Amino acid sequence: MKALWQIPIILIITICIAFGYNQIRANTIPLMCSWSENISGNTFSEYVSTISVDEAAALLNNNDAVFIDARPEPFYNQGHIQGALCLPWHQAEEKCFDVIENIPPDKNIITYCDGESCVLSDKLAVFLCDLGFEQVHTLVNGWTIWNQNNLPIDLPKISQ
Amino acid sequence: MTTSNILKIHRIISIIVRFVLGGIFITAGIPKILDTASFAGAVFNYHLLPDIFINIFAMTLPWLEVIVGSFLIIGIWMQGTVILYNLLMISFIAAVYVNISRGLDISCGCFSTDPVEIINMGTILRDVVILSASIYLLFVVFIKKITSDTIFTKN
Repeated sequence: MKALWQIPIILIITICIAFGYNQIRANTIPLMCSWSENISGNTFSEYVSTISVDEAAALLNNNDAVFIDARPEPFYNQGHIQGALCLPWHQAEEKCFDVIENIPPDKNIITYCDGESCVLSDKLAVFLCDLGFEQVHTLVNGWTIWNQNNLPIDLPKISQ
Repeated sequence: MTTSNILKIHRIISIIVRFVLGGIFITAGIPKILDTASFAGAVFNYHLLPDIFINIFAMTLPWLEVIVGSFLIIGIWMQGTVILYNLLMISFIAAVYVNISRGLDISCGCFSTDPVEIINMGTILRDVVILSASIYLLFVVFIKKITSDTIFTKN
């Protein structure tokens, strides 16, 4: 069967072109990278900590925190923690000043996204720390955990 | 309808399917070649590969898509090309399904490095449709009577 020699040759051609292109391109990427270490190592500054859902709920009840949703806007629009602001991580630089302009630098900020391994809230938290906010926390797997605990959420209004 | 007419219809359909499927892979591969770093991030978010393989995979897969797509359109080495196409589609569907089952909210990374392209059951449905078409090509290529002629060469 011809496929027995065609497939390996296609793969060899692909590898040669891919590696060759990576060497000559302007933004070469390394062949190997410690992704897990880089994500965790660069994610947290000394001002960022994780927060439990109970602590986050208590802060919401006392109006002592601002919640910021790091997910893309379509997901925010489908439902979010009550009173949360929308600041998608991939639009953080463009939209941050509109979102955070009235937040005092010492206010508790809780970023959240969805999924145990979602890093959007972590990245957003570090970003906000770099902007000067002193009390930034991340609620890991925030949207799911919040809903599982039947805590207050805002849902889209259904038009009649 | 005579056998020769049926073969002609299959020949025409297979040419169209080859162009469409080849175009899909080329369209999918080029953005990832241009922004390999972001695609590597999308691969990492799937949490399916060890860290040491992520960059190599991110460098290689987009080129494999472009090359397989191009070979499919031109009609080079059709047996190997179609088998690779099917294997890639099955891999993509499996990867998306595993992470939907895990409840991960991640970017698909299928056609762009845009983090807004989130995976869901629609992603799987789309890929299943593409896989169905590629299985049809598998049928066409390995039953020689209805193998379509290539643009430049005959298989």
